[in-house]
Amino acid sequence: MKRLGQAQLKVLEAIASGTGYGFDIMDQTALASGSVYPALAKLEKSGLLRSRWESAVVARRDKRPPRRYYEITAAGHDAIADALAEARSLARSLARTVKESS
Amino acid sequence: MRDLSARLSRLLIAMSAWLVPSSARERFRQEWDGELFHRANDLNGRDALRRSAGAVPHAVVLLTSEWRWDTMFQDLHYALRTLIARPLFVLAAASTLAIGIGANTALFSILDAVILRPLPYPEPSRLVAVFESHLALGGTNDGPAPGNVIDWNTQSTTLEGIAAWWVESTTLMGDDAVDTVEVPSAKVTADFFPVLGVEPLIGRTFIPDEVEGEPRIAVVGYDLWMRRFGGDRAVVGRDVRFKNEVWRIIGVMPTGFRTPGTLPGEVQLWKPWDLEMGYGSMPDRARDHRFLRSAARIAEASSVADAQAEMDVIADAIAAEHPKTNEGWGVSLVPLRESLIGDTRTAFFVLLGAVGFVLLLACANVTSLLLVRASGRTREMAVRTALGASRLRLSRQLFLESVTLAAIGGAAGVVLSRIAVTALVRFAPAGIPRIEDTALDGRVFLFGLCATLASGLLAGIGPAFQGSTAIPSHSLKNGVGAVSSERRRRQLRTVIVTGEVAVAIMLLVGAGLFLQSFSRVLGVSLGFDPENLLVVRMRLDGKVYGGGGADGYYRRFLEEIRALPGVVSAGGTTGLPMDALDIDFERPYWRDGEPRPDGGGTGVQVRMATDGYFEAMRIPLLRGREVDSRDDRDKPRVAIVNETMAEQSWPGESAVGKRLFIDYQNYETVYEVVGVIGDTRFYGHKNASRRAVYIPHAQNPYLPLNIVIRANGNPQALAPAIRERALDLDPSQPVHSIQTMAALMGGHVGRDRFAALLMTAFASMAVLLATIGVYSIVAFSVSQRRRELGLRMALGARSADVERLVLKGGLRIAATGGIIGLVGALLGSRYLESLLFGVSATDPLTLGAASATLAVTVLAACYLPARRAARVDPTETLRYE
Repeated sequence: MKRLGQAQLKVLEAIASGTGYGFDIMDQTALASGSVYPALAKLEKSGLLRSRWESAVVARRDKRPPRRYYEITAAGHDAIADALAEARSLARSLARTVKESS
Repeated sequence: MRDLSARLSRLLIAMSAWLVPSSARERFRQEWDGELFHRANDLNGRDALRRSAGAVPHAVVLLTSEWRWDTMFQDLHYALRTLIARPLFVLAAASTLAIGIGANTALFSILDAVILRPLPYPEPSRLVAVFESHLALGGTNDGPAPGNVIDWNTQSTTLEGIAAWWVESTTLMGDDAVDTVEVPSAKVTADFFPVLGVEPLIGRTFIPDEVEGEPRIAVVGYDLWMRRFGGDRAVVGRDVRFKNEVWRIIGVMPTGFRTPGTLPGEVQLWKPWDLEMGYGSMPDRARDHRFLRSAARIAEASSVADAQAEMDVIADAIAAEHPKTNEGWGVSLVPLRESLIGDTRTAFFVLLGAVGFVLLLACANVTSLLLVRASGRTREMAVRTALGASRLRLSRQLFLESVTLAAIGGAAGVVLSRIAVTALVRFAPAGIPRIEDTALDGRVFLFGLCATLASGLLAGIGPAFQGSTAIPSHSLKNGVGAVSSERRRRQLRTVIVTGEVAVAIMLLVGAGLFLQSFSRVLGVSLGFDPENLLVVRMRLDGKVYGGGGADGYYRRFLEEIRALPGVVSAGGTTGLPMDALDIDFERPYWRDGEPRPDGGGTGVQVRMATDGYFEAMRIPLLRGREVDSRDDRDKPRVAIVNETMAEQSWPGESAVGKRLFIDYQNYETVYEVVGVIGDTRFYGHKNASRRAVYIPHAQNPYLPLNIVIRANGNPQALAPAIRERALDLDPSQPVHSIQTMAALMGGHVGRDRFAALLMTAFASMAVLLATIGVYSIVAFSVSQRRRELGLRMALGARSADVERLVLKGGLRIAATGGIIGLVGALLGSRYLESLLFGVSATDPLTLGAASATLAVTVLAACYLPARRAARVDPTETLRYE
C-alpha cells in the first residue's frame, strides 16, 4: 500500500480523533486549506475515509447548506497503525545510530 | 471589504467547480458552501478568502483523479481514426500549420546562430570589446590607440587582460607563383589568446616581449597547418623555410578558432605584436592613432559596470596627463557579443515577431476549421455525454485531435524549414555576422517542438472547450436546440477571423514600410558609379617597396592595366567607399593662418589616391584639377577635397588655392587645395558624407592599395589578365583579391533587401491565411443559411440583394479587423523606426496601400460565396421544409 504523506497522516489522525468537518480539521492540524482538501480527496479515494452529509433537517432548521462530515474507515485505522509501526522502527534505528556514534 | 472578500471567495469556488468532473461538481460546491456558511460569523473576510483558496488544489486533485492513462491511449487511437477518415481536412489543417511552424523554425535557427548562441570562447559573458569614444565628436566608438591600451593594461584591476589585434594579410612565398599565397593573418598582443581563453592544440602562444623578427614567429591555424605541413606535429617549434624567409611556428590553434570580427577559421596566421616596442618611441601618435581592435576579459569578481567605472577613472587620469591627445576621450566597454552583432538584433526580433504572427494566423485558421468540424459533430459529442463521458474526457479527446494535427504539421514544418534555411542563408546579404553557423540542431528542434505543441494547444483550446459543452438534451433533439451552440461557434469564428484580418494588415504595413525604405535606399545617389567596376586589392612587401618604391610599382602596374583591352580607366586609393577592410582614418586639420588646435580639433578623413582614380569611379570633378602624374614627392604637397570639406571649411569661397595643415605624419607640411570633387556616400547609403581630403599617392606612397578598374563590359572578365600582369611585374607580389564593386557593396544594400524580402514573404503568408479565413467563414455561413436565403428569395429578394447581404457580412469583418489592425500598426511601428530609411513609420501612403490591398483581397474572398448565395434556387431549398 502507498505510503501516506505528512499532510495526509495528520488529516487522518485528526479525523480519527473525532474531528469531521473540513474547516475544523484545518484548525486542529494547522494545515492550510490547500493541503487539507486535496488530502481529504485522496484519502477518500483510497478508501481510508468515507464521507456523509449532515442531516438535511438540521441544516434547514439553521437555514444553511448541509456540511460534509468525514469519518475514518477500518482501512484508515490500519493505515494509522502501519504508520505508527513504521515510525517506531525508524525511531529505534535512529536511537541506535545516535548511541553508536556518541 | 468583507463583502468584496466574500464575493471573491464565491468566485474562486465557482471557477474551481468548473474544473471538477461533472459527476462530483455539485457535491464539491455544496461542501465548500457548507463550510464557509457555517463559519461565516467567526471568520473575517480575509481568512475566509484564504481558506477558499484551497478549493483550487482540491478541484485539481478531483480532476486528475479521473485522468487515466489507459483511456488516454484509447482516445489517441480514436483521434487517429477520426483524422484518417477525413484526409482532406487533415491536409488543409496540417499544411497550414506546417507553413507556420516551418517559417518560425527556419527564422529561429538563423536567429539562434546569429544572436542567441554564445561566442565560441570560454565564459563568453566576461568578454568585452574595448573602444575609445569622444562625446563631443559624436560619441562613436573608435578602436583604441596603442599608448592608451598599454596604460590601461598596467592600471586596470577589474580587467584580467586587454588584448589588441589588427587583421591584415601575409604573403607566404612558395617555389612558384601557384604556391605563393596570401593568407588572412592578424598581429596580436601577448594577451590575445589568454583573454579569449582558447588554448593552442599543440605548442604554445605568444609571451610578452616576443616580436616579429628573424626568424619570424607565428602561431598557425589548423587549416593552414594541415594544408602546408600535412598536420605534421614535428613542425611545431622548428624553423620552416618559405623560399627566402624563415618562420618559426610555435603553436597550432584548434580548428575553427575565430579571431573576433572574422569568420571561423578565416584568419590562419597570428604574429606577435608588442605595442610597447612598436609605439613606445612615438608617444603622441601612440595615443592619438585610434585604430586597434581590442577586447578584454572582466576579472572573476568584477562586473561590466565595475570595469566601466574603473576605466572611466583611468581614462580621466590619462586625459589630465595628456590633454593634447586624450582630452574628452573616454573608454567604452561593450559586451563582445553585442559589439559583434550590432544592429542586426532589432531587425531579427522584428522579423521573428512577424513570423510569430504568421504562426498565430495559421493556428487561427486551424481553429476555424476545427470549429466547422465541431458543427458536424454536435450529435457525436451529445451522444457521448449522454452515455456518461465527462467533459474532461471530451475536451481531452478534442485536444488530442488538434495536437495530432499539429504534430503532423510540425513534422512537415521542420522539413520545410530545412529547405527554407538553405535558401535564406544563400540569399542573405554579406555581413550578417555568424549566419554561416546556422544549423538545424537540438535547440532548433526543441524550438520546433515547442512551436508545434503550442500551436496544437492554441488551435485546439477554443474548439475543445466549446465542443465539450454540448448539452445532450438540446443537441439530440436535432435542429432547434443546436442553434444556440451553433451561434456561439459562429461568434467565436467571427472574432478569430477579425483578429486574423487585424494581424494581416499589421504585417502588410510592416512589409510596405520595409519595401519603401529599401527603394529609398536604392534611390540614394552614391556620388560614384558602381557598375562595371573591378576592385583589385594589393599589399606590397615593405622590405622591397618601402621608402617610396611602392609609387613606382603601382605607376607601372596601372599603366599595364590601362593598356589591357576592355579597360576604360583605372586608378588606386587607400580608402574605398563602403568597404569595411579599408584604411580610413580621421586626422585633425586647420586652415593656413590659424593656430594649431589643442586636443581633438576638427577632423578630416585622409586618403591617398593615384591619378585616374576619380575618373575610374566617375566621381565628378567640381573645380580645379584631379590628381595627375606631375604630383610626385619632389613637388609641393597638394590635396583634393570633397564638397563637404570645401563648403564647411571655406564657406562662400572657392576652396581651390587655399592651404591647410593636417596633423598627420608631422605638423609642418602645408597642403594646397588644387581641386574639389563631388561627395560620395562613403559610409553606406544611409550615412551622410563626411569631410575628406585626398593626397596624391605618389606624394605619400602606401604599400597597400585598392586598384579600381572601369571596364566597358563585364569587369570580372578582366581578372585573369590582371593576375597575369601582376605576376609578370613581380612574381613575389600576387594580387590579394579581385572582386566587383557591386559585390563589395552588396552587403550594404543587402540588409535592407533581405529585411524587405522576408517581411514581404511573411505578410503574403498572413494575407493568404487571413483571406482563407474570411473565405471559409463567409462560405460556411452561406451554406448554413441556404434555407434562409432561399426563403428571402421566395419572398421577393433579388439575387443582387442576397449577394449584397453576404458581401456585407464579410466586409463587416474586414472593416472591424482592418481598423483594429491599423491601430495596432500605429502602436507597433515605433519598433520599426530605427530600421527604416527615408520613410516614416506612420507613413500614410503605406497605411492606405495596406488597407486597400487587404480590402481587395477580402472582397475577392467574399465574392465567390456571395455569387453562390445569389444562385440559390428558392424552390429547391424550400422543398426540404
